[in-house]
Amino acid sequence: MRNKILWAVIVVGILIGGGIFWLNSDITHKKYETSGIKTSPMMQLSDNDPRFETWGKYFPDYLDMYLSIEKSKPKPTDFGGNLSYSKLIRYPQLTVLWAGYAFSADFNEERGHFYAQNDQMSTARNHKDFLNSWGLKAFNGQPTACMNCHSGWVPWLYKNVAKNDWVVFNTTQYWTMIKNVPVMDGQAPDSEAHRGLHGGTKMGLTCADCHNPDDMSLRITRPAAIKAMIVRGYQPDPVAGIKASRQEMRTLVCSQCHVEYYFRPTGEKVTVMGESISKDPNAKWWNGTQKTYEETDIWRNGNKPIEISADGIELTFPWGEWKKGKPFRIEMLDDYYDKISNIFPSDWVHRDTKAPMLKIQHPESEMYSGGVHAANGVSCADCHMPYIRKGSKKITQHNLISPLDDINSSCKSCHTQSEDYLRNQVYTIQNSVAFDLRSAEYAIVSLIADIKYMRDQLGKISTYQTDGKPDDAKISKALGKILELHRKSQMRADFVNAENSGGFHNPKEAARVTLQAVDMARSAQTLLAEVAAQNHIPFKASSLGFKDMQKLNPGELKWKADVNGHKKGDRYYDEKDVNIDPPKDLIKLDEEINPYNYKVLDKNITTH
Amino acid sequence: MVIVAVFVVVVGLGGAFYTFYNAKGFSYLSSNSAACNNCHVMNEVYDDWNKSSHREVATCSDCHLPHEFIRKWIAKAQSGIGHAYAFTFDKNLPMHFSASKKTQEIVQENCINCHLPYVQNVVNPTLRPEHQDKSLKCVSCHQGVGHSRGF
Repeated sequence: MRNKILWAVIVVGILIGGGIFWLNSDITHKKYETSGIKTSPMMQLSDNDPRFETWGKYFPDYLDMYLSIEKSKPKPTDFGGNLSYSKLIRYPQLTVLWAGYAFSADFNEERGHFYAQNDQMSTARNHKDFLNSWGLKAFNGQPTACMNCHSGWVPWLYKNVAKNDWVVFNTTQYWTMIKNVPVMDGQAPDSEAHRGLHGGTKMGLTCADCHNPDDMSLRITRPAAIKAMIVRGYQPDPVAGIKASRQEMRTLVCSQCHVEYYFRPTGEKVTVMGESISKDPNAKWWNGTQKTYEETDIWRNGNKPIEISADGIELTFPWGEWKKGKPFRIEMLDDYYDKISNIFPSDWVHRDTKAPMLKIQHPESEMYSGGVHAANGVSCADCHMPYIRKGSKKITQHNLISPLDDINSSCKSCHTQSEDYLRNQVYTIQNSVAFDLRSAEYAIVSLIADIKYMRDQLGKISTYQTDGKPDDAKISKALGKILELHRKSQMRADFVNAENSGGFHNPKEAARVTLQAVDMARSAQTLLAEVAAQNHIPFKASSLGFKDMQKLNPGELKWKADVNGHKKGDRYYDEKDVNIDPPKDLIKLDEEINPYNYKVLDKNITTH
Repeated sequence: MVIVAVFVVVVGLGGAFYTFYNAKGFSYLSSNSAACNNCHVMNEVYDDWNKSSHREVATCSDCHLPHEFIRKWIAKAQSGIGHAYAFTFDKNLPMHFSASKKTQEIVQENCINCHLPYVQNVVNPTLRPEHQDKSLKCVSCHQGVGHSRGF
């Protein structure tokens, strides 16, 4: 009996003792964690090796956060998120808005910084053979200018391959430049270690793109951003790129890439690296013309670098009219692009209307600049990289996803209301902007249908013909003002659509810009009625809506012909989680948005 | 056998004692605000309190614990155990906390405790039963007096 009690004392004592020692070590560990991050003199980081795993050795918490995107399940938000569904399936109107441009074939929700380079390598927009077979023959493959924002190797390539020549760097073919990513640690060029997501050629953005290797301070590494900010009135800085306070830098490092841009032709020929495959008479594109480069990321089968001459381009932010300290306005883009229309008339010519079009790309910096958060000195990082706790440490979140993923950390550092209240504020803003944006898109698709009809009708009248055939130039002249309204209204809808916040970055500007877009599209339809009356053409303005758009659903991307060993009808993407159907509830949401179904959309919204 | 048992108990007690010391256990018996800041999740509010108008006149416990002796120590024990558990085992503590119903009541009671003589013409009407559910609290308007985050 006595033994049993003793045994019990021993067992219970050991269990309790073990628990106490575990608790003790937990306490000690948390105390140690609060001592914070220290840069070590042993750290040997430089721009010669920007790999996130090299830098991450010294900052394992940050590397874990950054890489968590690869392992965690992608999350869609109502109008964003990182689930890579096909935006063309969700918004089929885009296939008409962008008709004749590569985006009308392939456009997915983006998966974030880690996947930036991988996704640029896999998008159909970067595959000449695919686009050829889709009838987009004018497209000549992407230049390296496109890579500026997709690879952590860009500063290295700019320095070592383009020899710090900005125009040479941008002008080189994308697929030629990527073959120059250095093979590290004696890896084989054809190995997974070099070509995989964690290796060289597919490596997306890294620590070095925003951080200085010496002290981890924020810096701007991309020349296009530095040049553009100097134009706006910033002072250059040899270390940080430009002179700015830390709080400003917490926005400006994002502005290296989250902006509208275009490729400005320099008007001069430059000598750049080409590929010897362009001399191989057996190397042909799908349509039988001479191959000028190989659409892969390594040199192989005797293909070598050669020197070629090319028309110079440079990545440029159209910020000439936007001065430092001022909010951005869409009219600044009108003024800018009108001024340079002789050297840069358009991104592409619209297939149906023949209007010279501008495609706006992710202008988050511009949209945000005039918003209420910017006015209060809130930086991009304050919401998108909120302070979080990891153990006992306070660190900035580095997974770079929507603030809606963690409203507590991001919004509630300033706003004291409940998370539900804050989420509802975001939802009502985004739903309201979505209503505006869909109104604009439906109006512009209606306008495009009407212009197309009018072009066909005018082509039957001899005044608009040359040698008995419709003359596109004569018709475009007669529709001059209408085509300009098409260009400008669509550029406005694009501005709000391409800006990744569903309007939240600046709701009042989003509303103003989309109202202009609707107004311009409907005005153009009125002008079309006048043209119709003058030419005795029967005309009834179109007014298309959600259901009409759904009929344009292109489905997931498939090969349209036998190309490069792919069979007609095969799925284009190898990755199963890319280019998928959007979640059904999002389509349902879009259906309720315009016309606005308050019974559904406001169900969970209450007032005081 | 007895020796082993005694040994286990002694080592266990010693460990427990050291752990209590390591966790600065004795500080929790005081009213010093620094004790609340033993826990890192309190860093921000502690910093804010240090800059606040109440720093010289009220500690954390002056606002967050009842002033009567027995209620105070019951509340202290309850919160202490809850906080210790959450701090040790909850890996997903939110970055920013919201005041619970109980905290709101205690804080309101303590505002009144110190300020009643001056503000009773304001407070007394709001204490009527018909206002109890939805009436404003002192901190609804005076958000920044304790720590700049409202919670």
